[in-house]
Amino acid sequence: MRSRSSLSAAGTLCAVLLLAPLGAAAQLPELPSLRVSGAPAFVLLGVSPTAVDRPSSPTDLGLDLADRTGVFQSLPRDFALETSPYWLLGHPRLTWRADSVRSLGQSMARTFAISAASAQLGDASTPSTGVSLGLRVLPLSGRLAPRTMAQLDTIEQALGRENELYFRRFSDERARMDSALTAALRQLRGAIQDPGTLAIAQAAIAAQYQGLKQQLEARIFADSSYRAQIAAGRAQRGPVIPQRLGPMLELAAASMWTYPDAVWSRGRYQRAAVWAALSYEGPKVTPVLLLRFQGQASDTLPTLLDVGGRLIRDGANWGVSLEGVWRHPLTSGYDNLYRVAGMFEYEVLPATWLVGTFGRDFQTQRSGSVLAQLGVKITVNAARYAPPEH
Amino acid sequence: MGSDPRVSDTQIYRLGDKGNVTIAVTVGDAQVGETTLQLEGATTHLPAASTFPLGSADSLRDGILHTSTTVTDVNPATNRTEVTLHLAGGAADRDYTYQLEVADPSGSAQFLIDFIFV
Repeated sequence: MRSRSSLSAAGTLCAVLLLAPLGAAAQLPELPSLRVSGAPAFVLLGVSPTAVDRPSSPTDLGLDLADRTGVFQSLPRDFALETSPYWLLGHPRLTWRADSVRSLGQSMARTFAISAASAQLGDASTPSTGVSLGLRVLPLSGRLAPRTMAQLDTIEQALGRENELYFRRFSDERARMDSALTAALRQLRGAIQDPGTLAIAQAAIAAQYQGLKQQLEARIFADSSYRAQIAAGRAQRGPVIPQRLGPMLELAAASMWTYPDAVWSRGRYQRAAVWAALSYEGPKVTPVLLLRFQGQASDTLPTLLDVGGRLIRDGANWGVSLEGVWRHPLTSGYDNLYRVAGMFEYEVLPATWLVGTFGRDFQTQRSGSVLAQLGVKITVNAARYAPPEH
Repeated sequence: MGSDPRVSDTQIYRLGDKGNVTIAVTVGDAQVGETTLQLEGATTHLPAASTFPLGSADSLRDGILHTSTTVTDVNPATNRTEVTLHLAGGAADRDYTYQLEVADPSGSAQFLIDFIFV
């Protein structure tokens, strides 16, 4: 993955050293927070679970839920699950080339994911369990980037070389086994006339051959020279993060309830949110339109509709972006607000970026409403750009 | 590698009196993989999404086809790998499907399937 400005990379792990904070309480750009950055249920509950259950089959899912809920007898505690129903089942005919482009229906089926989480929200005197459920789907998920397709082609060739190495090991022995098998089958054919009896004898020979083959395989896989060659080839290619380009539409929703003392009958709705993000992932320019609805059960907090846009232009060692957010309270008694910010970053040294932000925050009368920051960001992970999983 | 999940199997494929036998291999679950064949000592890389001619029934009878398919997990949505080998031109067309799950993203799995032609 090429180096790329992190302006478009929600979730890039960075260390930011602020050199000259001009606004006393200036905020970092907030637009990325309008985009659902993780599983919707986790975002709404405000948790970042370190261990997320991701069952790989319907059986795993059933066992997971039964285990976490005491066979469906209680609310799960400190639980995080994300699953995609489509991928719970195998798709033996779906090649990566066939998945490089998707119709609307295919994209929705392959990206639809359900998330659920629970967390202990209260304290020792007022214990409360928060439970959240979320959905996420991408009706548009672009097409596989040419660069990713070239990487996958290269991996195929490398895997071909691995297969070839396998066949080269003990090839004389394999040839002798083949000859012996052929001789045995021909002998049977000449000796047995009855088709049923012949089929049974052939199956017995096949089973005997399989036993010998497994012994040969065990020797190949124990061979240190073979293992070293395979390991050397794999070390060269590294992991692939499939990148998709083109129009992307991501929709997500989540709802949260709280249960004081973990008592079901005392449960009440707490809040809900809906996110929508429309973007065009290009190799250089990425325009993003975002929408977030936040509904609250509390009378003291307004129900909000946020609409935002962001334009990102970046190169290998620089990036600029401009973002605007318009906040419209749907609860009476609150004013509309807006926020505008521009950002830039430039790689002054390898993995060290000069970053700057200037703009205005929502509440212009408050201290810190001038957004002005200059700082140095040190990237501590190798890949600066980590696109969301599609 | 030694720690890769692996499946090893030998199948009998029944031939007809005549006809040309072909093989096609599909690596599913949007994973990346490659299949190499070995028949009578000759090694061939199977081109992706292709049907490969193996030979006539008479030339294959009592022989064996070795296949090795190695699959690497590149699909962020699943660690499952799945391979279907489709043989045609014999007494009946048949699919042989195998499934393995890799432990970690970017892991590989190997499918070592042989066919005895009778």
